Amino acid sequence: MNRHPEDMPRPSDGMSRRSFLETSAGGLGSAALAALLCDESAGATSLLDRTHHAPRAKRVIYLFQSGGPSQADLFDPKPELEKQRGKELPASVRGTQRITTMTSTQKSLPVAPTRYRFVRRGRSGIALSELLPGLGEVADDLCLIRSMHTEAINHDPAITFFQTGFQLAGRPSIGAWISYGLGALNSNLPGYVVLTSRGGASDAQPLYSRLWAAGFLPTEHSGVKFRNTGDPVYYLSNPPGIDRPMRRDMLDDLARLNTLQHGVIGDPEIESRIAQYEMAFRMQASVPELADVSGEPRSVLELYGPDVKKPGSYAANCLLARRLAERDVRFIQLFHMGWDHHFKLAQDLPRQCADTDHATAGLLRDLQQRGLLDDTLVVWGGEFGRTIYAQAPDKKSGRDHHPRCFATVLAGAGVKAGHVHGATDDYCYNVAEDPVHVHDLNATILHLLGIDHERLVFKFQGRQYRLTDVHGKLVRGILD
Amino acid sequence: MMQRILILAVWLPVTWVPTARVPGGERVAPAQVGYNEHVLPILSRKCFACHGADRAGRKAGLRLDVQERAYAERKGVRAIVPGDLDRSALISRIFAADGDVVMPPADEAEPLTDHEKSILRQWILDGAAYEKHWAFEEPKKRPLPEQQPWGLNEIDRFVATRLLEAGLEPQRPASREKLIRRVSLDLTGLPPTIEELEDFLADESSRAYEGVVERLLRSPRFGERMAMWWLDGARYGDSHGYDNDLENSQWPWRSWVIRAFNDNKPYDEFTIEQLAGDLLPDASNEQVLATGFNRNHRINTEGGAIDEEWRTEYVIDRVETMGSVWLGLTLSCARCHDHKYDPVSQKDFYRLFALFNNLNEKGFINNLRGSAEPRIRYRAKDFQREAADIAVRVKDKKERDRQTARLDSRYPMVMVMREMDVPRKAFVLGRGQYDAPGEEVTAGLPQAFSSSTGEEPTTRLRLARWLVSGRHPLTARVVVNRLWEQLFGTGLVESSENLGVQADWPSHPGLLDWLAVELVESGWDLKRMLELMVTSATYRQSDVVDARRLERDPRNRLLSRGPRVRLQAEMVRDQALAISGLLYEQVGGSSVRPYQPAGLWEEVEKRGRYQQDRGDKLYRRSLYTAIRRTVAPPGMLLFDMPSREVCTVKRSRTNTPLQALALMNSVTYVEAAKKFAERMMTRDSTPRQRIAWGFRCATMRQARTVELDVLLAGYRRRLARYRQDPGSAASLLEQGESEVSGERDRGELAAMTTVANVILNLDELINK
Repeated sequence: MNRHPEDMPRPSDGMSRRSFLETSAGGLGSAALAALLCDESAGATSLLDRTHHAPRAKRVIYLFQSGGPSQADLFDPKPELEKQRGKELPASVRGTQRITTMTSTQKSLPVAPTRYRFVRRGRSGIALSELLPGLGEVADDLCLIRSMHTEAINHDPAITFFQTGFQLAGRPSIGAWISYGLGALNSNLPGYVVLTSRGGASDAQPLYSRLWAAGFLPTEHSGVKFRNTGDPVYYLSNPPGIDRPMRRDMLDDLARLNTLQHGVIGDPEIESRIAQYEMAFRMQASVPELADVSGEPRSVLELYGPDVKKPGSYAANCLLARRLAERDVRFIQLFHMGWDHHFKLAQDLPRQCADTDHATAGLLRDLQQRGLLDDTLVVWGGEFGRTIYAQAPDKKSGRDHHPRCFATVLAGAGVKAGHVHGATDDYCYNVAEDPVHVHDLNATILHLLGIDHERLVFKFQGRQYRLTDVHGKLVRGILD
Repeated sequence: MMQRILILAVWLPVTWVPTARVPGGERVAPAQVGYNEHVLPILSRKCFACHGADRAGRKAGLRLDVQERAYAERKGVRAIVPGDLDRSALISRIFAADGDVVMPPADEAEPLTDHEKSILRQWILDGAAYEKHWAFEEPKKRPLPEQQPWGLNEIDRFVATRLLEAGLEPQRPASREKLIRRVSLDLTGLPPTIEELEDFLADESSRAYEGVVERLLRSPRFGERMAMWWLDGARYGDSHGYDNDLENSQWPWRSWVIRAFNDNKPYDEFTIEQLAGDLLPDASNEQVLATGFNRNHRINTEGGAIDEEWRTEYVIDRVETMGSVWLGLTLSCARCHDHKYDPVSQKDFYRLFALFNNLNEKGFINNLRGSAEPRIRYRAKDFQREAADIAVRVKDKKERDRQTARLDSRYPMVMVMREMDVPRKAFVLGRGQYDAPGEEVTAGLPQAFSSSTGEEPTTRLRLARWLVSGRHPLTARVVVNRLWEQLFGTGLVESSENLGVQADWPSHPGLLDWLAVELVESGWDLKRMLELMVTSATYRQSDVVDARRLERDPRNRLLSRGPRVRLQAEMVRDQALAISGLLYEQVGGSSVRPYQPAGLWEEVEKRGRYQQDRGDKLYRRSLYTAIRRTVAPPGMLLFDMPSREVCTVKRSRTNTPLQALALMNSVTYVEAAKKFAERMMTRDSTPRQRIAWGFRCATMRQARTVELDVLLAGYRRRLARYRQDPGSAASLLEQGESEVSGERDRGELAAMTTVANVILNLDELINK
């Protein structure tokens, strides 16, 4: 059905119900009010039948690896390159690529092939680094893109570009676009939830609220960051001295007064306000219930590894991601910090992998055993890759930022399983086959959700904006 | 005057004549198709991307945005033949059944609706007359619409005429209680006090309301409220905005803005000083400080960043910000290519770029804290005098250093504009990239807008003077429209961020132009303009909406009632502080760090710790809350305050459950409820009277009996609970750093706190 996204009711529209309040101007018990609103919103915002085409994925779990994981050490084996170890990167390979001022002043750019062994895994025989035994176990579920490329060479613009399709601040993030286009599936939880964690690496790039912000879209589409300490959602808990029954009692008074005022003023926005307070009250129950993993059996916890018991760890966030997926949160995004290995790569990269590998694999298995992988798209990747040449080769060696090629892993709804897409040159420096640009990946994620990326637009400042700007090609080669 | 409204507002019912404009009515082609009003929005949205001003993107060499080109014959075909549908290729193409022939192509733009097709058809049939884009013509005062039997000033004539056309009548005047709250929030960002209300109610003079308006415009709070508006466009923040995002010291510029509004600095001077104060002859320190406007952009501090790449971004940011704030145009499109809709070529963009390119600045500064060159000392004379005093007075070196450091934070260095002796060369940048310089350009104004003689060299000062010459088609319209938006919630042009070709058609075109000219004629007097708006009968209407108004004027674009709009983020908090008595007023000064959820910064980065302030600083107005741009204060973001990373000239206005949670639970609002309850309890009377007083204090109106019943019953129920469980009453009263004063009954105070919390959460309070 060719409904334009602009015509789609926004999620908040479903919360307002004029007819109900018109008939209840005399005042209705607010328990009944709550029940009605609750009842109404169940499924009311399920807009899948209004997508541009039939969706393959109902929701996305996006495991963002902030800092830029090293593709040459993890996903893209170049055994022949060993012969070039220590030799200068040929100018013909480097071409006109800009490099950061961290290595542009370095005297030489010596080729530094990986020190890690690659192993062919699963029936599909995908070669993965020994640092990723967990992913190796689920290799046959993975769709590995080795030919990603981007434009920015510094973290801030690069990660902003990944999230919003533009290097500078101000545009909506991918999750906000999806929330705007498709609405929420669960009226008790936000449509876009963000979880953050930091790895064991010695340093970590910061994250920025803009990465999950709504930009110029209405703010209600912003990602809601679930926090690792205190309330999972800002201001979720009642203050000390007000318990849940008392809050209900106070909200009943509030709803009565607001309903009375609606009867006088007639502004439909008042109904919407009443509904938002009811949703807030429901969230006060649904979010802690979501975050409470005490009922998870040991067999499930073990899938995610021992860190799962540490609140705020990547593993704990992966488990929360599954619980959010079960509750039909549309776009769930984890940001794991600590992949920026300019120095001491030999120390920090194994730590980062240990933080994440087991849990990522566990999440995939857990989704699979619940049948959720069929309609959940999982994405794993960072904002760029890392150079094949060594940074600070004489000292504690690492790798600099590299936008020209890197790897992203997909799994689940709508993508090929046990598949490798694209290839890089002999130096793991340039894309040799089937390049996938950031805009292409984003276009494909939208496609899997049933959205044509060229038609999910928003008019702002006299211009139609979209996530993929004026670019983006569907990556058909990875579609199942 | 109030009486006059009362009498005049009683309308004789007007026969309602259905017209094509009635919102929600049948979509038929209007009887009179106007190019600007009806045709341009269609062409610009669906055709100009390929058949507009952008040379590079143009298809088939066809332009539809220029009359001669659209009429011209190309390969034996004419897109438009005025009056002749059969020979106009545009008609055959848009009505084509064949998917390969039909325009616009399905993969290029949304298809035309039947309604749009019928407009284009009618327009060509009527002669396909083009008009220049309305906002690019100098605004003129046309004769005022006829006096209607309602209204107080000129504004009302325009509004009444439009209402009449739509078969609606104005709403009755708002009550004095409602009105004083509305106008106090609009002009000062704070609600009135009960005493101010009582004074107004007791004032029987015919100019009682005008007296209130004059008082509010004289209040120093006025400058603070206006700064809340201006800071978004100026992308003011208290940190550098990239990567480790350390704090800057730009706040003295904010103080300048507040002073400028309070002094009612005319908008032309206000503009010139911010854009080019450094270039004025014998520029004062204050005038140079004003140019901090162009240094409020973010500065990249991420290791490895390429200096020239980011320096270029700052120059581009200045051009785009100037375009959004003063011109209401999205110049950013022209960074990479000729603007597709507006007459701004890529070359024009880089001619403007050349104006903002000539300061000796760095693009990348590792771990920058404070300010970067060029900069000046804030209140240099005071700084020097006090520094000299310390040098003489304080003998101990350690103590001297400590006092000098404190002085440095009181009078910090502020980033400003300072022109280099020899301007940098400027080039058209291919795809907008710093490393792809093309043709060299010299500084200049966009050619479509300037009748440049070419004699005088173009400088920032000339740009600023051109903007406020009084003859510029956009500047005055843009600013009056945004002031209108501040008061009424929606601009006369709804797309207040864009008055270019893609702009929305104004709801009251004549009024917009009249106000724009009026502003210029008044000597760019902003206070006078606001006074004019808030003393109109239009503004003073009641906000009550009935079914008929909802149907015919659902979004109040026709102004068939008074504005009812959610308060902006700062006002939501400031109002709670004011009602509770916690507000600590001090105009200007450095930024403060009130409550925020613990651990917020640490979660997203390693280095920073949030050092929450203590005491009075917790209760200052929200415009002084420090904005760390990558982790902006969540309580503000939830209510749609922008993160100030880039220029934002229009906020969204949402209504979300997260806002509800903040107002219900955050320490800011719980503490406000506690102190508000305490104020209520100091009234020596019954609980019912106390609640009635509190209700009035917050809403300005008398609570209805049924409302008091609800609140009082709630008070009693919760008091009973707290009597049984005194511990929970005590813990509620521990929220926030302010102490409960006196020997008050804790159970009663806690129960009253819950009542206060309910009142502070009323929809009526969150709206104005």
